[in-house]
Amino acid sequence: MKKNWLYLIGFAILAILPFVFSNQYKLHLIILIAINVIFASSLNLISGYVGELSLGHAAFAGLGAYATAFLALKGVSPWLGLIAAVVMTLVVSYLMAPVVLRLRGAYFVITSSAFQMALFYVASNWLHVTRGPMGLIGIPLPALFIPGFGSVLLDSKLSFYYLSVIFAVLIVIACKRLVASPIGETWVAIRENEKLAVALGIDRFKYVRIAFIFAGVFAGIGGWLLAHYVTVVSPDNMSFELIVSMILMIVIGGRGTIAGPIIGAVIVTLLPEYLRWMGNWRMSIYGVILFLLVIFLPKGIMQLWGTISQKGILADFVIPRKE
Amino acid sequence: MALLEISQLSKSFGGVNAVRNLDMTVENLTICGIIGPNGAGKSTVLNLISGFYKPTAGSIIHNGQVITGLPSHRFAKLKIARTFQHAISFPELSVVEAVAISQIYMDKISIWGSLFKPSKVKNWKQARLKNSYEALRLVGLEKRANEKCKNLPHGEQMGLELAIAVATEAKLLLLDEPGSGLNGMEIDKLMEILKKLKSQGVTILVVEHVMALIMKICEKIIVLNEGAKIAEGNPNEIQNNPLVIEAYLGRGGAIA
Repeated sequence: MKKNWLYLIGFAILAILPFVFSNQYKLHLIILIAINVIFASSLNLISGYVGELSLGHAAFAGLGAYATAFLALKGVSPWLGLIAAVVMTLVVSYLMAPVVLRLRGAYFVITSSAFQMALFYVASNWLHVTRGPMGLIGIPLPALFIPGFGSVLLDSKLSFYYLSVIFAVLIVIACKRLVASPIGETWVAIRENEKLAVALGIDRFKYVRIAFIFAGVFAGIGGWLLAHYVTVVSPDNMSFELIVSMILMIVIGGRGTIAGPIIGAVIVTLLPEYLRWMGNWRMSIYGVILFLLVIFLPKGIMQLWGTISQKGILADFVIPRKE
Repeated sequence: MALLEISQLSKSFGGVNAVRNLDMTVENLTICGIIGPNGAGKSTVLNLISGFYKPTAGSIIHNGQVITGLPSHRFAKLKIARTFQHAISFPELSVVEAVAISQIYMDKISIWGSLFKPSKVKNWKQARLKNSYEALRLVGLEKRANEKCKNLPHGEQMGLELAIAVATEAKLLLLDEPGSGLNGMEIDKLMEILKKLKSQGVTILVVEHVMALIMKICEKIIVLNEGAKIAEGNPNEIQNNPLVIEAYLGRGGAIA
């Protein structure tokens, strides 16, 4: 099987990558890419496939981060924190769904943004619980119990690299499977022609809620990783800047494709770093580059892929697929 | 027994009575047409039957079951499908994939299955694609299967809409102006397809402007004017009904 080989090669590359880039700073960037892949891929479910731009996505990342931070600071294991982050985002997205999913287009954007702002200001101002902008500090690192070795603290960049990459890979695979499934087909159908989709027996609310909940829970898992990686959780974990960078990732990479958000996460994470030598000009040049990318590749970098070849190793990752 | 029984159906938008006290039936295995001048409420009737509008009053009974006010996504399971006027089905999808979406309502794969049973997902998709080719063959679009929907010309767009509706395995098809913008040859082809569908056990209710189509294939025609039924009968009766002639051409006119 040609495809299985490609997966194996991909996993092998991910496994040896930290030895190629053994530099701690580079490893740090790769970990951030992995976490950003989680954020972008999850946003892509609701904004790329269903086609509703969610400005509330960062709030789910923040909820996941705060859920685990509260528990971890009380001495609860980070793994239980992970469960708490999942349950928290699951419950909130389930309850949010009937409110926001009634709305479409600009109304959805505004309502989801209001949701993010509400949580952001709660986190900023509920001082005796969240410590406001000072944030919750000293969040412990997760430890892994390995039979024969006992409990191993994931305190090195290397170990955290593997942890975040495993989660990123699992989430990308989950997104890919969801998208390839009939559930994913309903998302695309609703995006392309809602009336016709409904006439064909597709219950819009039911399926869009599935996308919304998965997006929220995956973002929560990303938030959990980020909280334990940087060991600080502050309102910045659900800030407007975070959601802007997530949107940039999916727009630059290519909305409604599996590979797009991954490419976007790499670019949006690395580009500002590669422009560091420009000093004060850095962010301006960064802005101009993003601007040009969006002008010339409105469907993202995956658009190039479509024009170069219709079939190839990545074709399987590009939805809609040709059968 | 009639497949569809509509009694005292009314719909008003604000002060406008789009449909007024409509009584009509669609017999099983027939082709029934609704005609009327612009603004007569033809499309409103279709939207009421398919659940896109909630009626202000009246009832719709399908196969002995009351379906009035049912949400529109529930109709596929009742084997009722509809098409839309001037619609591009699913622009970015390929033709065959668009048709394959018709069978998703059968809902054979759960979230769990989607995540952990990719081979089951694949098999079901293969089966749906295979069925899609059958529907495409019926409308003569099998050669266009891998083209994007948005690239089809208008005439084929209607064929695709029809294939999508047929692929749901519906027993009652509601067609909203299938003949609009088609040329004579395309209309002949459409009539062939509709007759073939009827012989396969499908009942059809068609709202139409194109008289040639309606007069040739319908067993029964209902004429609406300003939201109310003004005539009902076979094509011959309708063509000679003075009320119909008046509604279309004004007093003293005649159908050419």
